[in-house]
Amino acid sequence: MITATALSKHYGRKVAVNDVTFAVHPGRVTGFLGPNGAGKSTTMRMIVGLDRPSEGSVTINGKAYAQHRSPLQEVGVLLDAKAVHTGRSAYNHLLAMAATHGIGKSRVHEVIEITGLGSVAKKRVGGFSLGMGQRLGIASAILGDPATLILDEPVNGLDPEGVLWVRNFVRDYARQGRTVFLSSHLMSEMSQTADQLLIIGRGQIIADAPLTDVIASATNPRVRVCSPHAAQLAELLAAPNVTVLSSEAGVLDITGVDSKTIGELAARNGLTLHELSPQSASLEEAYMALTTDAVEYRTETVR
Amino acid sequence: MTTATLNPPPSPSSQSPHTLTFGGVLRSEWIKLRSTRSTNWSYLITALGIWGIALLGALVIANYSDVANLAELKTKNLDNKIFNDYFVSIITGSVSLTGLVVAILGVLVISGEYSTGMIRSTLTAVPTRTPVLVGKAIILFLTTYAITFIAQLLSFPIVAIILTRINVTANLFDSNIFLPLLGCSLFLSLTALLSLTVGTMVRSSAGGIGIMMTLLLVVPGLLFALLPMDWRPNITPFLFTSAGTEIYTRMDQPTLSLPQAILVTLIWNAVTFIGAMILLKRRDA
Repeated sequence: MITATALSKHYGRKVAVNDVTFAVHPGRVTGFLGPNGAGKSTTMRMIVGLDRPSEGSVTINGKAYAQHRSPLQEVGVLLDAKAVHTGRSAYNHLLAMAATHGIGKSRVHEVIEITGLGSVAKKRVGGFSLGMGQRLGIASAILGDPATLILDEPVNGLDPEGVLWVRNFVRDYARQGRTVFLSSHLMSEMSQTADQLLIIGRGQIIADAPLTDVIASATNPRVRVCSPHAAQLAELLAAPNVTVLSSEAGVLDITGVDSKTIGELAARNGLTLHELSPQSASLEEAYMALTTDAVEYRTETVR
Repeated sequence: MTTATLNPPPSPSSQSPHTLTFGGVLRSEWIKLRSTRSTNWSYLITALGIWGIALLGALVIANYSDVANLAELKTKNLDNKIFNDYFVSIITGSVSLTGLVVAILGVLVISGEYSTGMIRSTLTAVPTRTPVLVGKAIILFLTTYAITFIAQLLSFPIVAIILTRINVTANLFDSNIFLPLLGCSLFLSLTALLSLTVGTMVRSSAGGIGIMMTLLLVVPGLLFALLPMDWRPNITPFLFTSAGTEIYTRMDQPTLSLPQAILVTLIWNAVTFIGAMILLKRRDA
């Protein structure tokens, strides 16, 4: 359980995190979303005491991170893959980390096996690929078998097998009643991994709700209809709050009215339907809708 | 959430005995020091430097000394002081070189963590931070001391064998030799330690090494050139290098006593250590 209370961080006059209050609960995967520069990494760094909050506080299971007697067993953290001395081997890096807490060599070998680093463990980290560096970061994070796992962009640079592994690993981790807090820019990945979402933009919390609620609230459900009588159907559906878009002949994208009403309307008027399918909105659409105002570094649209 | 109630969350503080301890931090810093290339190279260069310069110094003395003059000296040399001083100056002749090597090493021990991002791993494992610097300092000091002292001891028989050719002999365990060699290793270790704390303050390899090189090489000469003659005795003895040199070279008219010389180098270290500690504690990593 991570609890942030009125947490703020300023760098000079720039406000990175502005008075955010939230809780990350055990037993589920909480996704942390937000545009670049929204304050995700800063927030995560404050959780583990690397950055000192300008105001407010953040605790893990009721105590500040630094006050825990066994920090690595309390929280495992992957902030970025480049938190390893490039001149050292993966094995020695993990050994040095483990030594601080008296964690034995057997656990070091275990995390190397779990993360699939066996073949490169004795090589210098400087020569690692992005994906291998990421695996080492995850190995460091789980070294203490922590009750809380904080992962910043864990699947960044991983191969599909690695991505799947991380997804299953964190879901399993949460299922064991532990706390998982992870950020990602990959919306499809997040929608398959997270139960709860925390969305931050311009240093403030935009949404803190279950994944399904976030998607439902941010987008209007659409219904896709294929019919040889598309034009007729569109006329029948016309109403002030109904939008009908037609991207190609015979295909309609309808918002403002549900599939049941459309189906019944078509039946009453004897119109043939080839397809009538409610389209669930994607997390990506919901995310875009929520963060349009909060994007710090926007890509200019090319005209 | 239903499965969560079936498998109660593990409570880490009670489930296993792994806790953060200072002994653990020391072990961790030892693993880090021995598993880094720059460290191994630096210590190798240091040892080779000590042996190489000692060998060279002994050969020069053996081949170019005035043997007749030496024989005369030997008769006057009742407590063997002159010959002891020969040995000490030969064996410690490399300090100006090895001092630079251990200074670079001392800076790299911490600045390497900053430049690679390792410091974030280190400080998440040890969030109280203070034990990291203390642990690094202890490991660096002891390792540097052990390696430089052993290297000097090993160079003694080489020097002794070469100097017997001109009938210059000495006993390693004579306090006039043994103590200066202990002092020389102390100066080198304190140089490494000073560099560690300077490196911690500036967090950059280039910056830290630059400052240490300036302090060790430039400042003494610069002050000598710039200071008015009558100020020099009041300032130059208190430079890190001047005081440090007096730890292992006993001059006929020393400006500082041995305890004073050690004290001055310790004060230099204490000041930078406190500065490093405050900054490490307060700054974002």
